[in-house]
Amino acid sequence: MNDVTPCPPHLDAAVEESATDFLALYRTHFPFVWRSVRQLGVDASAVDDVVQEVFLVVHKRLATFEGRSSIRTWLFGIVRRVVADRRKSMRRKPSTPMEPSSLDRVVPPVSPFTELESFELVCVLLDTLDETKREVFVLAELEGMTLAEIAQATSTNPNTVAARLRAARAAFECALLEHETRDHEGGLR
Amino acid sequence: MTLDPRTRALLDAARSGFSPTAEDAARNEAALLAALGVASVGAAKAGTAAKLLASAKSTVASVAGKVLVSTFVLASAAGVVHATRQAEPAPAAPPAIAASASAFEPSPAPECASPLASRSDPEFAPPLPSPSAPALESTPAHAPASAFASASLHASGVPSPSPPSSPSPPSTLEQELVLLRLGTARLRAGDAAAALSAFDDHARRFPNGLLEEERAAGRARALCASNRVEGRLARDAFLAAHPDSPQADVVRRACADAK
Repeated sequence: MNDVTPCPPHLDAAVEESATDFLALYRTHFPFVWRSVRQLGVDASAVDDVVQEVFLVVHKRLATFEGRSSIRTWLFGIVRRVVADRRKSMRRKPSTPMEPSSLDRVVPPVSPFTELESFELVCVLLDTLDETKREVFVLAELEGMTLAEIAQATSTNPNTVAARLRAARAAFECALLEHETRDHEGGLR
Repeated sequence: MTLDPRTRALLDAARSGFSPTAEDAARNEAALLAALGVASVGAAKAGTAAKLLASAKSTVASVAGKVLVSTFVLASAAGVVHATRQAEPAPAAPPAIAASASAFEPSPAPECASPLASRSDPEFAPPLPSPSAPALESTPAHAPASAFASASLHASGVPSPSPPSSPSPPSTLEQELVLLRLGTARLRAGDAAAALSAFDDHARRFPNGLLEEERAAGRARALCASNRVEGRLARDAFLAAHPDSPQADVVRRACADAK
């Protein structure tokens, strides 16, 4: 590779430092970003692309992160925009349940289905929520964020988050009951 | 409001399914670094990219070596699943959120205390124990996805019996409860018409059901919420038939503005 012109040493060091910072951030927050993308309903087959797109945006914008919010809320703000853009461009296929994805690649075949079933059921139930309810619900109930954090992550205020969360919980429980009712149909008829 | 315990258990059991595996992490990191190697670091920075890549590979190996075996125990269930997940701890169940949420919530109307009718919910305190009433605990988890349906019926804090060895159909009371809970949840979600449908369905299936009183209360509330003229009639009929019902106040409040 003698045909490349080396950069000046100081620039090389700056680039390397910046890349190292980014890589550290990436490794720390990759699981959160991945989970968020999945929890917002991106199909298993598309999650790699979406996560990568998120981190490419992060890479571009990292220097502009001002620390006014936590890094996770900042990241989620990027996640939701990338996911929303993707939905617009794909016109979101109507609720095909998410595939079990990598789970069935790593779960030993002897395992019972309980956890996988739970995951799939939650995916189906989450698909019944609209986008604003869904994001508030997953951040609160699956990521354990506070209302203030969710407000930052979704660019709204805590009162709105509280109202959305209340509605989302009711809708989720209602969807679960609908599911149970169908499940009990055999007994009811 | 907070989530019903069995809903909480369902979410807890599902949470790890959203997490990436070590394999996902390795694949994504390599892809990202490759993308950045072109887009950002550039050909001139091949040395830096190579270092990053080498570093990533070692991390990937490290992550792969640090996978943990998580044990998941379902509240209702029979099973324990062992899954290999990436070594980042899944977020803990959020105890703080309920408290902080409630700080922003107006006092919930009593009828919305729980859509799922825990045993302490006066809205759905079934007439138990009754020697003739079918036992709630009689229903097993007859399918994994329905384990939570059964779990909901064990949500009273009463110790559940050992998992039965063979499935049995839901008890009549359990079936009644499912419909009434559905009606109440729909009411709370603001869908009075759908709620009314559930209560009417209960009336058709269980005209002499054990939970007739609860159904009549729910039906009156649904009619009032629909702003239908029958709401007032249903309220009056309910209060006449069940003047001492613990739900009398709930019905009165729900129908306070009825036509």
